[in-house]
Amino acid sequence: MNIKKRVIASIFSITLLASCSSSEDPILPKGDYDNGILVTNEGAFSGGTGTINYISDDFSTTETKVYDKVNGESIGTVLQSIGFNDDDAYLVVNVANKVIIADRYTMKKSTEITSDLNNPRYIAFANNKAFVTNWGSGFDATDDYIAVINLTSNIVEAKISVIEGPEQIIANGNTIYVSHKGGFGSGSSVTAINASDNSVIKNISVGSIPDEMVLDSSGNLLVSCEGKAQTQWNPTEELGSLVKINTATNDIASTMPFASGFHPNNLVLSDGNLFISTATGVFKMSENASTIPSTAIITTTVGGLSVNDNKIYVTDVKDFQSEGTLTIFDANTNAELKEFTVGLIPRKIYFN
Amino acid sequence: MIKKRFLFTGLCMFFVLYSNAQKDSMSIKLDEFSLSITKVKDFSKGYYVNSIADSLAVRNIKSLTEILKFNSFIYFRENGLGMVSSPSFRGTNASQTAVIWNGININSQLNGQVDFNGISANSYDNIKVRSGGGSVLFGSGAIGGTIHLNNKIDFIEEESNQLLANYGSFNTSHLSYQFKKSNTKSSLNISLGFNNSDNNFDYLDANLYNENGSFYNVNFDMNYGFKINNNNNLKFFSSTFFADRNLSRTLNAPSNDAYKDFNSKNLLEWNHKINSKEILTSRVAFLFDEFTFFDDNTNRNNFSSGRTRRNIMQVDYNNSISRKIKFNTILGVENINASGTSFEDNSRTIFTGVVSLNHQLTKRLSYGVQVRQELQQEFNSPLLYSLGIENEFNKNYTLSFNTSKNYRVPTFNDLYWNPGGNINLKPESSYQFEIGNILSFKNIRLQLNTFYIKSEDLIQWIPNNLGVWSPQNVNKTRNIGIEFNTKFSAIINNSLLDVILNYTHVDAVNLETNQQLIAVPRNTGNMLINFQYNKIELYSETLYNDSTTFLIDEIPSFFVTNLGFNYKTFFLKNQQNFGFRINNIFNTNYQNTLNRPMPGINFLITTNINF
Repeated sequence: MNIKKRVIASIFSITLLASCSSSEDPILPKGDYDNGILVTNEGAFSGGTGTINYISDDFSTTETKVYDKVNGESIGTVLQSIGFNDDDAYLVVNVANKVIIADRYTMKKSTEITSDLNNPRYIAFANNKAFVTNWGSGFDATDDYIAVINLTSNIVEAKISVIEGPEQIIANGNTIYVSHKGGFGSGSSVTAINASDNSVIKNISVGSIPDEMVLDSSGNLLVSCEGKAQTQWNPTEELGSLVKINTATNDIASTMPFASGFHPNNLVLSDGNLFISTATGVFKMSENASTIPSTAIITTTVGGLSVNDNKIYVTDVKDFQSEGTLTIFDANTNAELKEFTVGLIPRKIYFN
Repeated sequence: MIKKRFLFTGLCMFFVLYSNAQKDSMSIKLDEFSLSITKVKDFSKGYYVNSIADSLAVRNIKSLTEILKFNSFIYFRENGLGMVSSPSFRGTNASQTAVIWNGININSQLNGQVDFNGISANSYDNIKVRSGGGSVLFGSGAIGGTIHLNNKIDFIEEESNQLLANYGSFNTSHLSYQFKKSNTKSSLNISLGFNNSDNNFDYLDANLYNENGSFYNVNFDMNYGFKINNNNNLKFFSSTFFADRNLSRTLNAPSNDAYKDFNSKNLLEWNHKINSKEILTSRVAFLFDEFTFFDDNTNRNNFSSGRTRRNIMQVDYNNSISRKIKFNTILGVENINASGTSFEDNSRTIFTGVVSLNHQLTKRLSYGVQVRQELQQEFNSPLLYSLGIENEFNKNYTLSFNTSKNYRVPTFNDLYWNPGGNINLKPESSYQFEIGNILSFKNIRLQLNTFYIKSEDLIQWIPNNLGVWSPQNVNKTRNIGIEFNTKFSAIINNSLLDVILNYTHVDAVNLETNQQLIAVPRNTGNMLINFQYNKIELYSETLYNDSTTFLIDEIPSFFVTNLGFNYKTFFLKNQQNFGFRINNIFNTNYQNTLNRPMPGINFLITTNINF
């Protein structure tokens, strides 16, 4: 009875496979996870695993733990970020000290890099190499580095030693910019690196706790600096700021301080507009504006922020103990379109 | 003068009862007096106290976690074998479980908990587990229950040497030596212990092993008693422990972390017999605790650390007014200093006053009342109370009831951690009541406790609006449950059969969210079957943990069983014994905390030589 069923099932699946492979339709998506949104969830720090949620562009299909389902394994503890290079997704797994390379549309894993990574954070691509920021040991301010991955061999071929706490990383042609958020300490600079010879071009002093970076349409680098809020353990507030760096000279073009109490956690550029979020709201300004708006366009708890195709995507990490949400807003009206429950500590939103 | 002041402290209850109590007097013997044991025994009317049996199954296994998780109501969260192992009762958490060493609360002043792999497992003569609130007698954190680790100092003629050598899987070894010499005048007990393990077991059903789990630890203990005269004893208890362990990887991430513990506990006690009824005990204690954490064990120059120093002074006045009435009052002062990588030097001073009374009202009915008030600058401590009543209806059935208010003060981490510490925290408070039933017959004893615990202002670390984790008094919880214990014992044809079963059911709910508390299993149980025939003893221990939610995941339920064999023999005029033990005989793949597997089947040989 059982065997019979299994035989029938296998015949059935062979027929299906055959029919799949014989179809040659050029409009077909590149994989199950094409034409949609990927949300990365950090997962629990102690023993947990990061996960990825998929939501189709038309919101009709949602799927949890897509990487786990495709590959039959978990990602590892704290999925920090994903970088994309052509059809490859590079999953940077912070506590598990690895970078997983998977197809960005099918999520099928091809390989992983586990050597020479220590507290990896973010990844950028230039000169046919990947550059991964690494905090190193939490107690060592001098062991921080950028791991240079050869994209052919997928091994770390060099380490560029940098000052403490390299966080976000962005490529502008052959120059790599690294914001020194500070890791376990607190930083206040951006390092420019030559991607050809891995040499440090310049360390540029910016505001306190620089984090997210974008390149504006004139080719300037914009850096959002969080500053430090006034708290029991930090009695004097340090204001946040938005710093513009001229990428031709690597000098500071301008610095716009944020108001007291305004401490940004995300910076996104979309269609000439800058979207800046604090923990409690999203603010919008033209990339050329000289003042920072004082009223939020959306008042909501913000974990992660992204803007794409005239929609604003906001994650809420909730209490860090239960599943968070992704809320999608119309970028013209700022009205809420849809809310999805995603995984534990949702942080980043990517578009396929 | 001092006496007068004490009498005054306990004024009200004292004199009311004094008059009708005078008739039947008794005389206490200072020799047999042990303050810490007396506290648990005599001032726990209406509470369930379980003495961990000193059977061979227990005696040769020098792991407090192993002993207690297979022999009591306590539930352990273990981060893998040899790693952080924290006890809890009745659906509460590890910082709501107080551990009492010779009468001194030894919960960490930094995180409020006791890691049972971070203190000596080797140093105690007497282990008792008391279910239910005990903050009045045992201080902060005694909400779910208390675990008592005691040393006995006896003034009897005795000289003994004991050598224990164990060896098992994963190159695990234990070596300890204990020397006792006592007479009617003085008593000395010295013990030295050493544990070591590669602990490199395979993670079952995964292509991983515990590559960073090795540990070793050393303990040195000395307990000395000196009888000055018939009315004065001096006792000195000292325990020093050092542990160095690597911290295991999880299923989801490798680890190269390491952790060192060092703690030293010292207590000097002077028992002064005022007269045939009254004993005045003065105690001075110094406790030092230090941890060092390495996030890269190949580079030990970089670490974070924390340490606490505690100086405790107590005067404890016991009056066995009559066979029926026992009265006790304690005045204490404690100064705690904490320092570390993550916060500035801070100290706190706590003044404590406790008044306790136990009264055998009739032959069958007895009760105990206790009140505690603490004074400290940082917060207002509530008045704590406890009332317990026991009625022995007949020789087979006893009904008991207790109610208490308990609390837990914020720890130094909670208050001062940088970043996140919150100096505006209040103490957690907890009300509870409990009904207990004991049925005992010739061969079998059954105990059923029903409990209700409601806790408020629970301190929880949550991210604040800046995304920084910071403790807040946010949660309210309500735990309802039952504990069932049965002990069966029978002699059949020269052989002895013992069966002990413990089972707890708890429904623990977060009243803010109406959800079951995370990391609290609804059902836990264990069973010990011990069979002894002549020189041979066979036993099996089984532990059951129900499935447990952890954040958005679930830790599956499991049964794990150990099987053991001991052989007793006589040579060197003393009893010797040899044992063999199979842990996790069914090779169950199980975990106590998420993605931190415990070992599969493994073996241990034990040798206990007395001379």
